[in-house]
Amino acid sequence: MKKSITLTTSLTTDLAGDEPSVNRLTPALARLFEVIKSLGYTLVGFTLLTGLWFLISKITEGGLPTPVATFQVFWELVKDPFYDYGPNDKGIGLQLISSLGRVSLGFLLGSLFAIPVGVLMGANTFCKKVFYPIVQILKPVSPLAWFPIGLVAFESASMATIFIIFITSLWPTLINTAFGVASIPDDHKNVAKAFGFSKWKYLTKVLIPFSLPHIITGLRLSIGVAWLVIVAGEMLSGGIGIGFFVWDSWNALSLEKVISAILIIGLVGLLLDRGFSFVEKKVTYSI
Amino acid sequence: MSYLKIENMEIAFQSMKGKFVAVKDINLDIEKGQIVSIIGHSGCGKSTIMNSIAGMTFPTKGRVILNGGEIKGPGPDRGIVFQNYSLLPWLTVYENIFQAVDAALRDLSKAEKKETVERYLRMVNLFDHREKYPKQISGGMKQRVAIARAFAIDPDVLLLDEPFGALDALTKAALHIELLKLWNLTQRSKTIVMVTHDIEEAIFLSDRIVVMNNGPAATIREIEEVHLPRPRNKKDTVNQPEYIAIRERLLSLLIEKVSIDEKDFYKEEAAA
Amino acid sequence: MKKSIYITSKLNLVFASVLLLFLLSAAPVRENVADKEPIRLGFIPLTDCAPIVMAKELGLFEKYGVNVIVSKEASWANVRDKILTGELDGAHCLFSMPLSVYTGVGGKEGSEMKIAMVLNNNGQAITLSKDFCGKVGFKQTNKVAPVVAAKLKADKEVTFAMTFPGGTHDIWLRNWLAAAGVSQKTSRIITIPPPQMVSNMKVGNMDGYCVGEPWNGVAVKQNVGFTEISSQDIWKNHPEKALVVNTAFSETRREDLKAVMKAVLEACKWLDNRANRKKAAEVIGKAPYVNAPADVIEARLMGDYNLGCDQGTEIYTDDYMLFHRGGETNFPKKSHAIWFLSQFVRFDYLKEAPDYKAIADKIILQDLYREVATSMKIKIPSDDMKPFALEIDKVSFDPNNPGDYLTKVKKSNAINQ
Repeated sequence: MKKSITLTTSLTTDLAGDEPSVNRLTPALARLFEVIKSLGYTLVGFTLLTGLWFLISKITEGGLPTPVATFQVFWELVKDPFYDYGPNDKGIGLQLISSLGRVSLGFLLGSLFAIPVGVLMGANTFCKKVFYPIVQILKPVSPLAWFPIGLVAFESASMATIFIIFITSLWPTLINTAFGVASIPDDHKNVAKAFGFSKWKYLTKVLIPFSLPHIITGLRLSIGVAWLVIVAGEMLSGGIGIGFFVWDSWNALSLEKVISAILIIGLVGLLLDRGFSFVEKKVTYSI
Repeated sequence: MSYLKIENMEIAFQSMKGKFVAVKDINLDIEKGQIVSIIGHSGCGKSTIMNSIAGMTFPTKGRVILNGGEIKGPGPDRGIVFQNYSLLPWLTVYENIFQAVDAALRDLSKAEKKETVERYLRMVNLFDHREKYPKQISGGMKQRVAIARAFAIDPDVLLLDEPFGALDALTKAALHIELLKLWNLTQRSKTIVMVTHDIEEAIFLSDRIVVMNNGPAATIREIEEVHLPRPRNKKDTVNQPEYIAIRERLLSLLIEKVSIDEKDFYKEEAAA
Repeated sequence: MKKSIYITSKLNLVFASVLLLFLLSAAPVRENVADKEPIRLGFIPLTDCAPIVMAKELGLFEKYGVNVIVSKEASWANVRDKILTGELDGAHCLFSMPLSVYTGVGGKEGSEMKIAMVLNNNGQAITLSKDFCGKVGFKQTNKVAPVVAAKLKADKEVTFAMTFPGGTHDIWLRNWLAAAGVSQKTSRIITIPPPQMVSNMKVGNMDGYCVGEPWNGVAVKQNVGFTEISSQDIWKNHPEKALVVNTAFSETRREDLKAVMKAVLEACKWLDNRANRKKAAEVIGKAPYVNAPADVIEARLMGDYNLGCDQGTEIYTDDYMLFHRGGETNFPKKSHAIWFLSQFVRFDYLKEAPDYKAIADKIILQDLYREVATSMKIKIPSDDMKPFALEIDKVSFDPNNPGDYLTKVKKSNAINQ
């Protein structure tokens, strides 16, 4: 709270150049002021983007639809997001939830695999030396390349989609976890050694608490990857989902819907990222 | 047979450049309940010797024997206070001590462990701060927690590695008293080995002071006996003749130039 | 503030809600109805998905006592995979896809999908880019080669697109190129989805493509290309799409499959009535189905082809897209299967001649169709296995002796196929 008042004060002084009256603002108002200001910056950014967009749509003579046309379509999509007229005709909200479900499953499975393996790799030099080359080879492989393998392995397009999310999103978590675990300071290790911590105590009271911020960072990056991949994956496998919606709209050459979907996808990605950042802040400790 | 005995110890490390000998020919006998300081310049192997008693480092020659048994590794019979406090930042003051007690004194019941932790917290006057996190307390308080933690596991030997190095003089003085208080409260039965840079601190606290030569391959230069009576207090003890004598002796052993000599100025000017 | 507990409970909340989310939506693909599992039929957004879509929309599946779910799929490869794994029981599918997959051209060799019946004839076309406007006119096949050669010289490459290797569009395209005398070795022939065809042509990356309606009509409407030749001009009343089914489904739920076929047959009959075509275009044009302008769909369904490029309109009177033709369309002919297999050999997809008859017997569920048609009193053609010839090259094809045809056709089209 104190911090925001100081910041507000200094900024207002910069702008106004004289004695700020903001000192008298209550903490709550000061915070509100902060929020409004950041919203303002965002608005400026988006206005610039929209302006550029409008320019491009005029230059390409309607090849790229105008912001206005797109917004009309966007509004149509979001004003009734949960209608359900059958398997091929569902509201955008339902499609989003469907995609999020797949992402969640793939991401969860990926995390359940990545965290223990990451801990192993970070704590044990042998494991690190054995696994690291494998990680380096598999990490850059595109999810689209994994899809046929998933199809053969699981005999199902929907399982294959979840598989490609699993296999591409687990790397950031794995690498960050390994890094966190490997960088435990000797100080903490010495405490555990000196006082005779059991392996379990070391794991739960030293290793995991220390590595937790790194793990959460990894998870945050992973969910970003997973969300990216689901769109591509659904384009390949069909079904209900925001990715398939993009593909289908593309098939019908409805760029307004494609762009609207891009906006929605971006917003959801942002929210996911913010969610994890929030958790990250909560588990970060200062020395 | 002395309680803690270091016998012909040499500790060497393999490095890129070959074998590096930290300390050699270390022979030291410490009686139970003694407070011994090890003092010397940086790099003279003080911490290395500490680590060998702690069981964190192993001698390449010779051995360390505690109460008849050779030291093979760390154990709950030796409590350590580290240079950097080494409190776990995500645990509260209470939890930091509790986890150590929980790990070292496994036979106690949960209630007994809790009682132990609280007792030692009170001994260092931190009971009211037990729910705070390390980042919320001062350096002096952190070190008090570390000391309480080391004492709480009821070890036979306490090893303090420059425990007050990072603190200001006033806090340091207060903590000297705290340390002696704890030592007294446990019937002066605990053997304390301490590494320090501070001559005054060494004299005030110790029964014996081990003065090291410079490293590498550092050896013991001299061992000073300190016969100052206990309990010692800050105001009176520093004026006692023995105190002054030991201090002079240590200064001459450790410090090359004791004052600024006017002659030196001219020497340098003439040279320049 | 017990931070560690706080963290744990927050994290727990996050994980719990994530888990809940997944449970809500990553539900199994099939709904497990206690009595009967619904039948899943897939389709791709093309005008000729109409029999399946209309059968659903007109309530015909229910009439014949089956619960059918119709689902839009992402691509032909997708349809292939899902039919093979059983995620789809059947689909609106390229007639030659099962043959292509079985022989290893467009899928894992030996994988079996069955052809239950044919859905439509005609209604596909080859669209050329505007760059060729004025240089080659509608059906002027003999003018194509020099124009393509000129383009090849100027741009170093010429690109044609089709929808699936060994699929119907692939074969129409290659037949056309062969008849035009264009070497398939020097042209790039690639597989891409319909909308990329239109967009690429718009920016000048694509020289021509072969695909089903409405994408040819759309290209004309968007002034991106023009219709060079329609598939019915290549082979009048050719088999185009079929109801392709999963093998296990055809065996274990035979009666259900027959009910599906009856519903689809009735839809085909309905569609051949020109008076119904306007409504059909409106229904299938909607977003959940083909997702294209109804007027473009309707025009070509009626045989009204605005050719683009100021070439005027071509009216097809009896060979626009047809779905029934009194039973002629729907009967799956083994001779047609053998013809497609011979095309795989002709165009070097297969090095050796396959066992034509055996494959046709295995893939085409002709007896099943006969049962269904008989029960519905639909005429069954009697001219399967008789020789026939395509309009575009007039080379006679005898299904009993494909080798002979291959020799003839390789001689007459001296430029390598």
